Amino acid sequence: MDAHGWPKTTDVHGWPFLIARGHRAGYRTLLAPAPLLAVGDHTVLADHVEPGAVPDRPGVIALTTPSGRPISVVHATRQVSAADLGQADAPRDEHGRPLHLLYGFVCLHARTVTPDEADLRTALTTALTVYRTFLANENGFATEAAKPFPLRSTLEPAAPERHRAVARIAVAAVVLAVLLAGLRWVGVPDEPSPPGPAPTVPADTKPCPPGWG
Amino acid sequence: MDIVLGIFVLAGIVAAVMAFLDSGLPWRGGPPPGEAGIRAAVPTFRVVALGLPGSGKTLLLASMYNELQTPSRQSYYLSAAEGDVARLTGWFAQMADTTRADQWPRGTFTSETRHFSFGVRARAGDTVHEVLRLDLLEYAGELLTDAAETDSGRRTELFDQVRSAHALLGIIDGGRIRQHLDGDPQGWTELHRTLNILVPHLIGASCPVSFVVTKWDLLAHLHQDENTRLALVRDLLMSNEHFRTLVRLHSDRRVVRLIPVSAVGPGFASVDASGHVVKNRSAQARPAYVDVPLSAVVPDLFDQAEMGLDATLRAALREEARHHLWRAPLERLRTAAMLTFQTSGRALLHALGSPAAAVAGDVLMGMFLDSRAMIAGLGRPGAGAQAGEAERRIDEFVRVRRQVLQDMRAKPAMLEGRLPSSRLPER
Repeated sequence: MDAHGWPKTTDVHGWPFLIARGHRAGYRTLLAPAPLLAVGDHTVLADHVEPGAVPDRPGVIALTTPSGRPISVVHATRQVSAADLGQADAPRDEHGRPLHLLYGFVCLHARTVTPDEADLRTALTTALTVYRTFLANENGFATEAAKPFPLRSTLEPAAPERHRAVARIAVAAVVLAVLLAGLRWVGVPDEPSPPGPAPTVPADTKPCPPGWG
Repeated sequence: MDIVLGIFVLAGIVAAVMAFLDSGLPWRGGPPPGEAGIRAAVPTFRVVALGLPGSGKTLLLASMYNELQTPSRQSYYLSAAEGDVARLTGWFAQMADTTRADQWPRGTFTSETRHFSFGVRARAGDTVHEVLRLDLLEYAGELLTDAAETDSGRRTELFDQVRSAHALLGIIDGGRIRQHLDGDPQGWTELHRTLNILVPHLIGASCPVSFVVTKWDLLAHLHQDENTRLALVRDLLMSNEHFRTLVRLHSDRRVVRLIPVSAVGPGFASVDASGHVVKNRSAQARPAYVDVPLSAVVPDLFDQAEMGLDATLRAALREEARHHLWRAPLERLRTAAMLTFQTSGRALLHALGSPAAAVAGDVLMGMFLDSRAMIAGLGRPGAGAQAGEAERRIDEFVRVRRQVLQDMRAKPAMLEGRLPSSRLPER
C-alpha cells in the first residue's frame, strides 16, 4: 500500500459505484470506492462517466483522478423499474421523468479491463441496495463508501507512472525534433493553424465486445 | 486597459484586412473570393441558461432547435454538428411522442455537460452565409444546487462560461408556479429557492439578462388573457425581494425580459392527481415562444451597449451608421475597424463589456452599425458595377446579415407587442 492506502500492484478487486437522482434530490454520487471518497477523488466519476444508450450494456473508460491516479471504470446505465424497487409502478421523479442509475465498478490502477458480466451484476446488486436506502431518506443520505469485491474481469496493469513519464518525454522530444526539422525545410508558415480545443476527458471510452446487453 | 484594448483591436484589424486581401488573391485557389473576409466577420456569442434541475433547460434547447432548424418563419436557421443534431432531435422526438404518456427525456447527468455550437445561417440565392454563431452550454442543474460535490470540474466550467457570457437566461420553472397556485407549499418553497440561487449569479452580470418561464402551457388556467396571465406571474416573482431588486438595478440601463415559453405548446400535457406532468395522447406538440430567448440575444446586447452611452456618443454612432451604409464593402470594413479607435467606438466596446468583444471589436462594430442603420429604416445601395467578385460577395453577406439581425429583433418585438408584461418592469 502507498501513502494513500492504494495497492502498489494491480488490484484484482472491483469497487462498486452509483450515480443517480431520487424523487426530489438531484443527481449525485451515492456510492463511491472508499479510497476515492477518502481523498475527494470520487468527483471524477460524476464529471466524466457518461450514461450509455443501451440499458445495462457496459462501457469502459480510463480516467485519471484529480490527484493523478489512473483508474478504469466499467459502467452501465439502467432505467429503474418497478421490480427494482419492489413496487407496482415504475418510479418517476417529481417532474414526471424516469429515474436512471449510472452504476458499475472501478478498478484501481488498471488501465485495460475486459469486463465480465457477473461483475457488473454484483455491482448492480450493491447499487440497488444503496439506492433503496437513498430513496427512503433522500435529504439525509450521505455518499456511501463502497467495499471491494473480487473480480472475474480481465485486467491489465497500468504502466508505472515513472515509465509513462519517460515515454511521454521521449515522444514529445521526437515530435519537437520533427517539427523543427520541418520548419527549417519549408520555412515559417504564413497561416499557422489555430489551436484545437483542450480535451476534457483524460482518456477514451471504448465499446465492449459483442454479446452484451 | 486602453493599451491592451488597442492591441486587441489592432490585431483584429490586421487579421480582418489580411483575410480580406487573402480573399482577393486569385492565384491562391481555395475558397471563393471574399469568403475569407466573410469568415473573419462571423462572431460567436455565448449564452448560458441558469436553471435548477427539472426546470426545463434541455427541453427548451431541443424545442428551440426544432423551431429554428429551418427558415420557415424567419430568414435564418440554425445549423449544428451532426452528433448534436441527433441528440437534439432525439430529445424532441421523445418529448413529442404521445404513445407513452409518462415518457419524458430523463434529467441531464453532470458528465453530459456539453457545448452546443449553432451556426446562424441564411441563404442568398444559391449561397448560404453563416452570419454569427451562438454557443450554448447544456449542463446538469445539480451544478447550481448540490453542495456535496463542490470540487466538480464541471462546476468550474459552468461558472467560467457564466463569467464570459454575452447573455444570461434565468430559467424559472412554470411547474413550480403551477404547484404553488394549486396550493402545494412545495411550489412556493422551490420558487423562492430558485430565485435565491439564480439572482446572486445574475445580479453582478454586465451582459443582458432575461428570465424565461418554462412550462407556460401548464399555467393556461390562470387567466384566459395571456398578457394578464403573464402579469400575474410577474407580480408573483416581483414579490421576491431579491428578484425585485435585480429588476430595478438592471432595468435602468438595459432590457430585462420575462419570456414565457412552452417546449410542447398548449394542451399537450396536464398535471395528474399525483402532481406528475403527463402527455395528452391526442395532442400534438406546438411549441410556443421557444425561439424568442435566443433571437433576442444579439439585439439586446447592442441595445444595452447603446443605452450605456451618453447622448453625444449615441448621436455620433448613429451618424456613423448613416454614412456606413453608403460605403463600398472594403471601405466599410476599414471604417468599422478605424471606429474602434475613436471615442464613440471605444466607449461602445467598453459598453459591450467582454474581452471577447475587444478581440472581435471591428466585427461587432460593423454588425452594430448595420443594426442601427436598420432600426433607423435606412436603405442602402448594392455594390457598384465596378465592384469585384470579392466585394460583391461581401456586400451580399452584409445584406444577409442585416436581414438576419432584423428578423432576430422582430421576435422579441412581436412578443412585446402581444404581451407587454414581458418587459420588466412594466406596471
